[in-house]
Amino acid sequence: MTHIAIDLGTTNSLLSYFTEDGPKLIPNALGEYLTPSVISFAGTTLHVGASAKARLVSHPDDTAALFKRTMGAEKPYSLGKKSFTAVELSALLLKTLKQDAETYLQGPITDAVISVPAYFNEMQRKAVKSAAAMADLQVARLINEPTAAALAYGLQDKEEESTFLVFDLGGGTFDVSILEVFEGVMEVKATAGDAYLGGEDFTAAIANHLIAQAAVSSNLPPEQVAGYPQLQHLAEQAKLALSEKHEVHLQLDTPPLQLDLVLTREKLEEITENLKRRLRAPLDRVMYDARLSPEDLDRVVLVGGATRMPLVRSWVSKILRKFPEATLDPDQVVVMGAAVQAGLISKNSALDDVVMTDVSAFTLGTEIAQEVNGIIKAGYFQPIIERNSVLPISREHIFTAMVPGQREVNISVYQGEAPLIESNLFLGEIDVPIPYNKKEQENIAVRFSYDVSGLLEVDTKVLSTGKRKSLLLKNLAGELSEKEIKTRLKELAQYKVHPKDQAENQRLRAHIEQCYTMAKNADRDILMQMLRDFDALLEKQNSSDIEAARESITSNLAAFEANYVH
Amino acid sequence: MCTKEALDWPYNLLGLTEIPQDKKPIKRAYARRLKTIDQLNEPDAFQQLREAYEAALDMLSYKEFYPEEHGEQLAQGAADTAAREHTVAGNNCATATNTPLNDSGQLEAKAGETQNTPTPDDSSPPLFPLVYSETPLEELQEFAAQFIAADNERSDEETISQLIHYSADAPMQERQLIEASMLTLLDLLTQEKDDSDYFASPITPHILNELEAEFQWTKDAIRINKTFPQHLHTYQTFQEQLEALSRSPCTSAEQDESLFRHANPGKLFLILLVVKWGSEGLGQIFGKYGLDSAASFFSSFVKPISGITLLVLVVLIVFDALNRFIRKVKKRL
Repeated sequence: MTHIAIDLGTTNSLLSYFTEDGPKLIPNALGEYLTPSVISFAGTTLHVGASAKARLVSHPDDTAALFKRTMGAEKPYSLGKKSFTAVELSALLLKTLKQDAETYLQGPITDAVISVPAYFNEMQRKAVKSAAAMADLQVARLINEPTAAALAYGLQDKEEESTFLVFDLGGGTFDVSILEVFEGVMEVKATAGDAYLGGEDFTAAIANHLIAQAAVSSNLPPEQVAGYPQLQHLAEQAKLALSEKHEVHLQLDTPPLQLDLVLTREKLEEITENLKRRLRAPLDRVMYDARLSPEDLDRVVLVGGATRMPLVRSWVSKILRKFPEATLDPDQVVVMGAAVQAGLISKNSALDDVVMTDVSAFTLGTEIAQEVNGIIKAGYFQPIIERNSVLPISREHIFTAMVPGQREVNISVYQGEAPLIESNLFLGEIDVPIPYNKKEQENIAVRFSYDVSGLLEVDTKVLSTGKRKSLLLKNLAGELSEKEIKTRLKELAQYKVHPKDQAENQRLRAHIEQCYTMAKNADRDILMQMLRDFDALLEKQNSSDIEAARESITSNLAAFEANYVH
Repeated sequence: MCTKEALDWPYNLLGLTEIPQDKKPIKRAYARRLKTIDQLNEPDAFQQLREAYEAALDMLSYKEFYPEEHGEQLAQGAADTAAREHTVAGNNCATATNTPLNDSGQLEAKAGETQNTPTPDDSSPPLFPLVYSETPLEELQEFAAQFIAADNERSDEETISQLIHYSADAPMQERQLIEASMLTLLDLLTQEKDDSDYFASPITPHILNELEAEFQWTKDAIRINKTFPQHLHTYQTFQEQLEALSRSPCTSAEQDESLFRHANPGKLFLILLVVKWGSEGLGQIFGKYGLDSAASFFSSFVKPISGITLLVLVVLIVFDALNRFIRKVKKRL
C-alpha cells in the first residue's frame, strides 16, 4: 500500500510518493506537478486546478481560491447558487488530487501524509483532517511544511552535521524553522511563523496599488474598480514578472477600465514595506527559541514560491548575513519532504537509519486567576507545555483551588503565546470535582500530554484523593462529527471533475475565456472566434485536428498575454 | 532503584560508558537510542531519552560557560537539578519540588493556583549574556554614536522612533541590542502616580504602538519572561499602558516631568546603551543585583567615555537606585 504525500497549498497543491530511489513527484491530469488550489463550477461541472484558475478571471462569481486561508473558520464561499466552506472546497481539491494519484499509480489510494503550515493552530489542523475525511482519505500524519522541506534537504547529506534555517514563505502562510542534522537525526529545534502572511498578500498589495492607479486613469471610484477581477490577475502577473526583471509595463484597456503604467522593483518594495516588516518577528523568535545567533547557522534554505521574489531574498541575506540557497525547487520541496515522511511511516527500508523529531509550534496552557494589587483576577494564561518543546511531551503542573471549601475546579485548555487567555485560542475544558475541605485549599495536578500525531490529552488528579479525570481533545468547537463527515462525503461525491483526456481541452477553453476578459474590445472578437472554432473542433472529436489547434491556440494566447504585461 | 540510577544519570540512559568531553559522543549515543524508539507508541521512553540527552548537553555547556575552577561543581549542581526534574517528569519516585522560578516574578500566580515544577530550560545558562559577550563594547558605542551623529536635530521621540524603524532591517545582534535598550529605557522612565505605573516622556502612545508593532511584546509573554526576567515589571506596565491605550487612545501615557527632558537629543541613547551594557549584560553573569555589578563594571569602561557623560551616568544610576528604593519602601508600607 502506497502512502501518498500531499502539499495542500494556498496557491498551488502538489502530489508525491516515496520510492526506493527517494521521493518522486506525481503529475496531475494535465501532466503538470502544480495544481492551482482553485475550485470553480460551470453549472454542475466541477473545475479544479488550472482551468478553475483561468475561470477566476472570466467567472469570478463561480470560482473560489485561497480558501486555505479560512480553514478552521466558518466563512462560507458561494459559487454560483451553491455555498461551501473552506473544508469542503479543500475536500474537493483533495479528491481530485487523490484521483490524479490513483490514475498515475494505477491503484487505489487510502492514506496520505498532508503538509500543513507549522504555524497552523489546532483548529486549522483539525479542519485539514476533516477535509481529508470528506475526500475519503486517511491522514497518516500531518507534517509541518518547513519540517518537510528540511527533510528533503537533510536527506541529501544525512550524515553531515549541520544546523540550518528554513525560511518558508508560501502563498498564504509564513513559517521559519531551525533544524539540526546529525547522525541521521533530523531535529527541529524551533519553529515560528505567521499563518496569515504569504505571497498572496504581496499580490494583494500590488492589486491595491493598481486599483488606486486605475481608478484615476479610468475616472472611476476605487470601490468600483476593486470589483474587476482583471486587476487581481494583472497584479499576479506583475509580481511574477518582477522576479525576473527590474521593471514591468502593465497595460489594460477593457472599457471602462484603463491602465497603463510601469511598475519597478523599487515601487514594489515601497508598497510591500509593511508586509516585509511582519517577516521580522517570527525570525527573531525562532533564533531566540533555538538559542542561536546567525553565525551558528550553516545554511539558510528558501522554501515556498514567494521566496522567488528578489526583495525577500535580499532581505533574508541582509538580516542573517548569509547567502540563502534554493537548490531544490521552492514549490516542490515541501511535498518531496512530505513523501520522505510517508516513507518513514511505512518504514521504507531506504530510510532505516533516518529519524525525525519535531516540536509544538505553540504553547499549551490553562487559565488561572491571580492576585493583582490585592484583587483576584481571572483570565491569565499559565503555560504548561511551552512552545518548541520536542514532541512527544508530557508535562505536569500543580494548581491550587482558589478558596477552602471549593467544590469544583475548571481546567480550560488554551493555545497561544499571549499572557491573557482572551488573546489565545480556546481548545476545550474539563470540570474537576474536588472534595469539600473547609480548612485548606485542595491541590490538583494537571498533566498535558502531546503526541507526534498532534493529539493532546489532559489528565487531572486531585492530590488528596488520587482521583483522576481525563479529557481527550478531539471534539473541538466547530469540528465535524463522523456522521456529518459521511453526509458531506456523499454530497460532494456528486461533483465530478473531467476525465483526464478532456482536462487539457477544458483548461485551454478556460484560458481563452480568461484572455477574453483581459482583452480590449477589438481583440475580443478574435478570441470569441477562437473559442467558437475550438468548440466546433471538440464536437467533431478528431484528435489530430484538436491537437494541432491546441498548439496554435496556446502560442496565440501566449503572444496575447505578452501584450498586457511586458 | 531510583537513587542508584540517579547516580549515573543521564549518561547511563544514553548508553554512555564514560563522561563525555564534547557533544559528539552524546549526540551519537542519543541518535543510536532514538532510532530504537517508536515516538508515536512509546512517548514515555522518548521523553526520558530526551531529558537525558538535554541534561547531558546542558552539563557540557555549564562547563564551557563557567570558569574552569567552578566548572565541575556547577555541572554537578546542574546534574542534581536535572536529575530531580528527571524523576519528577518520569513520575517514578519523587514528590514534586516547588522551586519558585524567579524572585521578581510578578507574573507567577500568587493567590490562585500554581506551584511550578522546574523545566529543564531553567537550568541552562542564560542566553543573553552569551549574546552580549559576543558584541564588543566598542562596536556598540560606535553604533550608538553613528546613529546619533546622523542627525543631531532630532527630538528624543523621533530618535527612539527611528531607532525602532532602523531595527526592522538591522542584523540580529544590533536588533537584540535595540530591543534590550528599549526595555531598559522603559524601565528607567517608569514613574508612579496614584498607585499605578506609567512611562514618562518621551515615551508617547505613538512610541508604545511602534514598539508593539515592531517587537510584538504582548503577543509573546514567554520570550519576554525568559529573555528579560529583570524587566518583568516594566513589561507588565507596558501591557497595562497598551491596554489602556486601546480603551482610550488619548488619555494615557501622560507627558510628565522627565529625567531626560533637558538632555540633548540622542545623547540619551549613548547613555542608555552603556547603562544597558553595564547593568544587564554583566548583571546576569555576576548575580541578580544589577546595581552592584554595574558599579563594579564601571571602572572597566570609564576610559572611552567623556567626563560629562560619566557624570550623567552616575547621576542616572544613583537616581535609579533611589527611585527603586523609594518604590520598594512604599510598597512595603
